[in-house]
Amino acid sequence: MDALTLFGIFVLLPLVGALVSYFGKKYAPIIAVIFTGISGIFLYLWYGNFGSYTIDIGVKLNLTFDITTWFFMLMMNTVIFSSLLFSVSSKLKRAGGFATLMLLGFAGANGVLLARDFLSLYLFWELMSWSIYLLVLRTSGEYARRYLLFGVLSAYLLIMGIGIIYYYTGSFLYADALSGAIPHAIWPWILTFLILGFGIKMAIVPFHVWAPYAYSSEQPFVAFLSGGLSKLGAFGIFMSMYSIAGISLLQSFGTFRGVSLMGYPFALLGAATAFIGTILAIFQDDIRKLLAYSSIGQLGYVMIGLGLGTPLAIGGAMFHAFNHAFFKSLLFLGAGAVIYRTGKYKISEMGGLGYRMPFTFMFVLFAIFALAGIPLTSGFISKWMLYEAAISRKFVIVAPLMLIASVGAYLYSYRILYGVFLGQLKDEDKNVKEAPGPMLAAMFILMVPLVIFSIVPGWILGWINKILVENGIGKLNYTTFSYSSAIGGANMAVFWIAFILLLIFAMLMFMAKKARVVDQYDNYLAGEAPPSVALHAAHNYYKPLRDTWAPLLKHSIDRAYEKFSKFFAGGFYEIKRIYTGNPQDYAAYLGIAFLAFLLVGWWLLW
Amino acid sequence: MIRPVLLIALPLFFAFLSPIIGIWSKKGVRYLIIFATALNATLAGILLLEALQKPVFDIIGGFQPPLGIVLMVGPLGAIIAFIINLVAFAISIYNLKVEKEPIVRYSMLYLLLVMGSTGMVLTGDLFNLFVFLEVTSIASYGLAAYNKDKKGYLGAMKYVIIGSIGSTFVLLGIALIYSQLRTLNMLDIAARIGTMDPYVKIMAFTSLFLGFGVEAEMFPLNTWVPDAYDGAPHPISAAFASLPAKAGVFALARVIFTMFSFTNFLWFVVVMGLLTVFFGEIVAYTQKDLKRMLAYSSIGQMGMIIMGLGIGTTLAVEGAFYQMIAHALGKALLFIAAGFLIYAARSGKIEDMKGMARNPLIGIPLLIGALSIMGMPPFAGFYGKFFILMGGFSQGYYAIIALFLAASIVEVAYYARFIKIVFERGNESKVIRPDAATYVPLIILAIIIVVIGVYPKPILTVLQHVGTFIAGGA
Amino acid sequence: MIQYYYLGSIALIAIGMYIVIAKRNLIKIILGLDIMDTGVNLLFISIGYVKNATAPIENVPGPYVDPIPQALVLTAIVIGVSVMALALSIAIGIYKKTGTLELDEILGVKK
Repeated sequence: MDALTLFGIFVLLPLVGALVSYFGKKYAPIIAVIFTGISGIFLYLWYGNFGSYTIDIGVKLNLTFDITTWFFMLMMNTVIFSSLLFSVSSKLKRAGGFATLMLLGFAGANGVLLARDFLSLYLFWELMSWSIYLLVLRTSGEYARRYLLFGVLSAYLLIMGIGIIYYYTGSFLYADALSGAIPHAIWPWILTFLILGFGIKMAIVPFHVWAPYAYSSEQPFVAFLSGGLSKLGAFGIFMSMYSIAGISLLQSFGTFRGVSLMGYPFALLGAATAFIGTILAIFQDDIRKLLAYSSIGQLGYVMIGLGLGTPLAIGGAMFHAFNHAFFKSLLFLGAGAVIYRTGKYKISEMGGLGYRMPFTFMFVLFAIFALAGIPLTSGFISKWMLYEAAISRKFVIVAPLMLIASVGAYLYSYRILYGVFLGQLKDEDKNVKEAPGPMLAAMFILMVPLVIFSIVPGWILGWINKILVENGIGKLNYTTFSYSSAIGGANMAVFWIAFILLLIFAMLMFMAKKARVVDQYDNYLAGEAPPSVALHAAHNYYKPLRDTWAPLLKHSIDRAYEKFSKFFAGGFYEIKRIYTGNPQDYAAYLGIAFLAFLLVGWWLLW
Repeated sequence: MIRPVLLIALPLFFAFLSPIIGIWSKKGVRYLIIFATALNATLAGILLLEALQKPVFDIIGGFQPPLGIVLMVGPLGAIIAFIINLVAFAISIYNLKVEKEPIVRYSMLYLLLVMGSTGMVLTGDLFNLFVFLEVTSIASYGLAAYNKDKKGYLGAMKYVIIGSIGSTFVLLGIALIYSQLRTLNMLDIAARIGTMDPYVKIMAFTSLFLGFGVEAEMFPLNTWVPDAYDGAPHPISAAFASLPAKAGVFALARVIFTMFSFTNFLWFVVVMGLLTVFFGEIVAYTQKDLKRMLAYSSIGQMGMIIMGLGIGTTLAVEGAFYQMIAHALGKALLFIAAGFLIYAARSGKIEDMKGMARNPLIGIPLLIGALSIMGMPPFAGFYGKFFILMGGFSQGYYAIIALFLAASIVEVAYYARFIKIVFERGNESKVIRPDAATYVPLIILAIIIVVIGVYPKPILTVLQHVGTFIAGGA
Repeated sequence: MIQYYYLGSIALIAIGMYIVIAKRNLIKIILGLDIMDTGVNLLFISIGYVKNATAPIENVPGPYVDPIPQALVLTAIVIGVSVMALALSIAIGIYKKTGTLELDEILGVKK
């Protein structure tokens, strides 16, 4: 493999695909699926063919294909493949533009993952940013602007970090940053800029306000955005903390219970994100918004792991990022399937769809298990690793916040489960059909890794372990079915055996007593005819909880940003007044400028 | 082997040929300027290839320099001249849409504008630079008032007042330099600049800097820009942003690097650039009128270029030149698109243009142009901005870059607002299809923007010569 | 002696600038521009001045005055005249549209 092959398959091929699929009109998603499929096949084939390459397009792009890149690309590729597969049958308007932009975003994402110099990082980062912007623009203009502003803010924070590095080293290469040219005291600045810059894409608090709105766009895209692209933030933070700076440098800023003081504040930020995201998710009635806030919360966990920086924590963060890629895009696609069939967004207006869409229900159910971290799913292991990482170092703020957020995750998961799939089927939904084949296939593809890695977490832990070892962080203790840590660990084999035994027991119980299916009007009503809506109470869900939290929910970061921008816009109108429209004023400016220049020049000379 | 003087002589010839053609056919004149600019662009391309080998010197009238006038074409000058002529060609296609008479005079002035801008870039003689500046200015004044409405006249009037004060300054600067050095040849001046009395030197620098700053849209000399752009016909707004502005900023670069090789005063230029960006972007945010918004945005972009020149490292100046190219292409594209949008919406206000760009023929080039101006990859605007920023960092201008980035966010905000409105759904019945004279130049410009954005190597190869340019070479 | 020319030209430039900034009539403003131009031209001519010298004509014994400034100033005057003509024609256009040359009224109407 040479540089051009690597670059060609992972970056140029999607770009070509973008161009081709624009003219594909109705068939654009299929074309795009084929293109991502090809690059996916090469990704699987090239595992182990790692190496560094340089592409010269006038500026030198340094690309490295290594295990970290491969690991993240695996998520990216699977997620976009299934998202596009989903979109084949979702009858999008202007599907050509959709597929083009998705592939552009994909090319950008692959570029970010391959990049090992700041120029190409920034280049692909921005490419990805604006393609997402245009994808959001397809459904909502105002929020697209908000996304773009945060996207650009993220890019400019990166630029600040990159610029400081460039000032000292005069090179864009990641590898040169550690050459010792950068004074020790400058590193916190660099890392803060880089981490916040990447963090915006992960929607960490207080930069999360773009996410709920961007995530309300077309579902196949949102699945890719939340499942795939938001992981780039995690990747970037991992690279800047543990590859560019390195663990020993981080530790040299002092430690707090063995965790670098450089990382700990970000772990706190992650905990706050997990907490706030989850709390807000509980109270959403719009299924898209609920999933969006849930996504914010889950990425908070990843941030916690990356901030804590022990091998267990980073391993947990990586694993959780991996899981999140699959279960969250599965959830978004599931929601998409439901929305596609019913045309409704509000959870309170749905119900009972599990009877009409059993396969969708099954897939979503599994994703929800993974999200809530119920044992038997891979989501459990990753969350458990993160808990252990926090508990083993006795972090009394981070660990409880994580636990609260985890309980919150149960609450909102249950809201989806009950509000959408269980309960009473609404009359207007009586004729709803199961989602079309490509959609189910897309969801199935996403579910497979969740199942496999819940049984054999050792495979994925093997990759993660390689990443950790390669970056000199440490290593994980794991076997094919389990991992172990200083305070415990988890053995999935035991869980599965217990589960299967319990399942058999439950089946026996179930078979022993003959069950009878009753109509829902037939039970516990004592002959009284009920109004048909009353049986499915999904309005004002969690109202008591909401009342409890009301004083806190009153404060909104959203509104703070609005005030902030209004304040500035007002200032802009004041500044505008210097352009009076009177040429004589302008001539006076010229005269004053001349005199000022002259006097300053002479003064400097003197 | 092409003599650079052809690039000046041919437009002049065609300019004065057009009234004669106009006697027979008004339509012929329109196609004549397309032909003339295409020819000029081709010649400029060939000249660029020649200049890449070694700088081309063209001695006019057989008088040897430093006494005689000389054209001095380095690779950088050649590529700017090439881009100017290329954009002029694209705009001249859009000129077919100009309906107002007298088209013959319009064509003449347009060709003079092209010729003056090209001349400003190619010349190696200070006084000659002044003459070309004036040719450009006079053509611009005329074109700015071409619509013959009140807006046009007032814009032109402001342009005339500021512009002639500016050129008076240039002349003053030339007089001061001549009084001390007794030469007008740029390289000769550069060689002997050290012998100048420092106080006079600063005064001369100030005069020239401010004088060319008027054309280069530097704060606070850019006050004419919004009115003149707004009042001019649409193709001319595009031309203003791409031709005289680029020539002006190139002249500024000549003043800074070729003639006065200042090193300790450059931070001052950076600050002026920053102020230009700041005021340009912020005021652009407040504009409700599309062409005025683009005009202020143009100010912001020129400020970025001036910043790049002021930072003065190889990387930053490379970025400034890249940005000149990108801005010439991108802003011309946007102004042409703006012309179409204004025509389609029958109003200059952005809010009236709801959904007007939903036709892909206009929408996609518009997006490419806007993204390129915002500095997004893989479009032309990306490298320029990135290099300028990195150049700034390498000189330690942290605070200035941070402020600049803040202004850039404002830029993104108003472009996003504009994009949101023109792509909004719900006005489908009123969306019209652009005709060939509109979309052909748009597509030409968009393709160039994408190509040099995706594969910047050709441009960067030319810009490698920036090192010689900074050191005072051609 | 030569300093007086310098002073004179600076005075002319300053007067021109003052007129452009302070007078509210368009014609006066344009004249102010011309006065500035004249000031610079005067400066240029005086640079080339050499005491007791003659015009540089062949067969006439030296010393000669510097001929280049004179050539340049001739060009500059021509340019100045054309800018002036253009400015005045634009002023005529403005007068046709607004019926006045007072800047306050022109801009006032615009509001």
